[in-house]
Amino acid sequence: MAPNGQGDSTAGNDKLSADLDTNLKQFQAVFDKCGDIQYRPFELNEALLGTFIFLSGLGNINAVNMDLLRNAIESSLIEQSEALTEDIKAAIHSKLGFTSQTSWSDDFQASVDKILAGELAVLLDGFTSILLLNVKELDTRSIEEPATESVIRGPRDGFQENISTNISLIRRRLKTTQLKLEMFTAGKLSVTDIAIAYLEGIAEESLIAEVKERVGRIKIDAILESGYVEELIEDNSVSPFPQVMVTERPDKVVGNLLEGKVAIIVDNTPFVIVVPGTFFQLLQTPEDYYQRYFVASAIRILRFIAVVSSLLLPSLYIALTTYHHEMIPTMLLISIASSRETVPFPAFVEAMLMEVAFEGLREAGVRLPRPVGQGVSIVGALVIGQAAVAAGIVSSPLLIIVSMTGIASFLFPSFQLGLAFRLLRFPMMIAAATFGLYGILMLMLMLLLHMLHLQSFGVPYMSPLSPLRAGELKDVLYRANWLKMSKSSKSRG
Amino acid sequence: MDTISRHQLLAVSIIYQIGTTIIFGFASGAGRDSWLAVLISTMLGLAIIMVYVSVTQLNPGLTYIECYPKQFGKWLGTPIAWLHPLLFLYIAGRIVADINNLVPSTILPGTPPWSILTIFMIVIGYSLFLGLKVMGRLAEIILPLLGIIYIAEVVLIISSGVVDLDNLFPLLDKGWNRVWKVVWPLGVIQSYGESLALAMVWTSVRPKGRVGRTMVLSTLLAGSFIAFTDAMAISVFGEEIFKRATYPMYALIQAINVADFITQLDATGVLYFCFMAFLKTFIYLYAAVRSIQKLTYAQSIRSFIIPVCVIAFVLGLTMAPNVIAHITVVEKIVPYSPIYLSLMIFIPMVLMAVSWLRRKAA
Repeated sequence: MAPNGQGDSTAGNDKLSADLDTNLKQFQAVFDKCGDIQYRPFELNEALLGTFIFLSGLGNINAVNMDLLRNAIESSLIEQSEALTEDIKAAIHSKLGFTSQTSWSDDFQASVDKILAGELAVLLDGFTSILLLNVKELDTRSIEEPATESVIRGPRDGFQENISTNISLIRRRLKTTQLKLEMFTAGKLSVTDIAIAYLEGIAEESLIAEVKERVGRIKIDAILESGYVEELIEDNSVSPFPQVMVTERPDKVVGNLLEGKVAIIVDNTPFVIVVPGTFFQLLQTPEDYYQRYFVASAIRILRFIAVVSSLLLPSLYIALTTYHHEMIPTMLLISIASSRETVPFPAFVEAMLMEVAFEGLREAGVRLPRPVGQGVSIVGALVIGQAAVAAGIVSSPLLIIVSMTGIASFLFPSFQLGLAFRLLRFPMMIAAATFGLYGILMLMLMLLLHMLHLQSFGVPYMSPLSPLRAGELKDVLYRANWLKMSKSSKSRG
Repeated sequence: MDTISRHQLLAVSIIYQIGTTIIFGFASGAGRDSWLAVLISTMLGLAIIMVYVSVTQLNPGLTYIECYPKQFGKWLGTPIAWLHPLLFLYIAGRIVADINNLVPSTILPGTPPWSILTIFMIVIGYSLFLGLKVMGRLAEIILPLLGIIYIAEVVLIISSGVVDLDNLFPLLDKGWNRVWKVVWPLGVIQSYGESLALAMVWTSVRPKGRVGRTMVLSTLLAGSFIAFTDAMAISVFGEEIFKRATYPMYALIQAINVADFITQLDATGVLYFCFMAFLKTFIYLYAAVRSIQKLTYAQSIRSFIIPVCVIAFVLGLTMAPNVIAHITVVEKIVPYSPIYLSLMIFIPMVLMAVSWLRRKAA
């Protein structure tokens, strides 16, 4: 193609022209009103004109870099400036490839996409190709301890918003070629990077294929957080239970990869999804494996008790005080009755009032800016506290029940699972208020049936307890010694 | 495909066979010899169950209900086969009636029975829609839990200091007569003859095979459990009270009293009962819808679930005017009815013989 060929200028077309001005106009038209696009025209020795186009803030670009870049291009072009030949491409590659990834594109739309992704475009007069340099370097926060999952013993690094940093945190722990990372993009407007990580030979082929298929199927305008992906790929979206595990901890992800799970890392969020998610997996923390196994087993049992009590305590209180007084030991019954004497509400209303107030306080604590947050706890202590009892609005036994339920719900290692149980507590209370223990039993049966029916990527939600795989129970009901655990094929890292 | 594992079948069968005896007791008419009657019934019942098992094994690939048209021909076999879903529905109705009688009179005195039954049927309907697989998993989880609760209960009863082993003796002082009277036909039909409905489940067991062994194991475990509980109830109450109590096992739980602190656990007894009744009703209605599906050559069982649930609900609500009438029918009329005896005992034997002869001829 002839240089300076004005005739074949095709503005608006996908192809690029050889004329710098035409190309520039085309880009300016596309990037109209995009204030963060920067144009830097320059001139090379041979009176050859060119322009850098890039997004400010997305790349590692400064004055010195650009000057060096210009010199490098210039020296490559010295021999031959007539047309773009393979020689020049090779020369530029060898000069610049050391510091950054270079590519040539003659497709207009593809170049626009790359610029938006943070690459630096170099337009040269007389060339129908654009040189694209990957100088992406996003400003991110440093690696910090995860805010939602802290441990006493264990690594303190957590994922952050940049996908490549997150991948490096995983790679650091698995220095093997078996760790595969397949890249996808999703979101029509956001064009978000998604990486699917798994250990080849450990994760099942069918699972990997299923995950890829479901991630590939995603059709949405923008993905702002992995929650979007979670909802779009999960099996049953009308269930209150989370069917994937979400974590900020690289060690947790790696541990699960070693168990044959697949991780989905989404750009711009520190929360990594691990599939398939099962109920008992959501009740485990990596720390269970770092502490001595006796202690870890005891904590697991404590957690099971917490799961049951966070769901059932208020409803059992309602059922017993409303329908089955006889089951409460006489002395306790008398003390409950005497403290309820001044309370005008039935047990159900009383419990509902307190639980809603408690949930409200909790939500307020999350949303409020930190300096104000303290005020919430003061108000909370007064509302759900002695003052409410003194005013005769609630009875003190109920206060104890609500606090114990609160404590139990803080014990969930997975915040999402905790949310599900917080929500289910309310229908449970209604069942208890209408049908007593019978109502609780029937709703529990419904819930259990639902949980047993749930599947996450082909894995039953309640496995390995049911369908029973007795060999794996030693890592579910308690935490066995590593010597015993390593005998099973799928041990956790 | 709606499948169930052998382990799950074991759990389902044990819960199914223990079933409502956890409240109603078993063979209490035999007084202090009742535990012996239970063991004898178990042995006879085992033989009956083996008949069902061999029928399904002689006709591989067919559910129990389909064996009739195959072996007896279309004109004789199909009507007999159609009697089964009706029988299953009737028994399911009886269990719903048990709930109807027991729950309002014990733990929910002020609640209208229809609302209690509605909730029950909703849960049953939901479980039927989810299918056998989920139910197998549920049984698998619940059985160990029930075991733990039962052991705790035994420990509590013993620590309540009400057990008096002298009540168990003298054994057989009134002769074998009253033992035989409860063993045949009631003892054999209750729990064991009723396992006929389980025969509709056996073809869903994967991996295939060894159903017979699983059923033997579950029958022996359930039988010894019932015998043990009977013996415990006799040793707590003595013969007279045990014989007369409407719900002897319920009374057993009421007898728990540890240091005046753990007392009046009867509501938990009712809860077991509700769970047992839930699983039994599920199996009966599942057997009923599977039979209807097979007999009408329908593609799926889904369209039969709601009608069957409604029928069981209405049956349960209207079956008996009061608990006395209800239990009298169970003890005096049902076991001697020709339909029960022939469908559960005689016709299966004929079917087994015919299947065996035909197989030999072929």
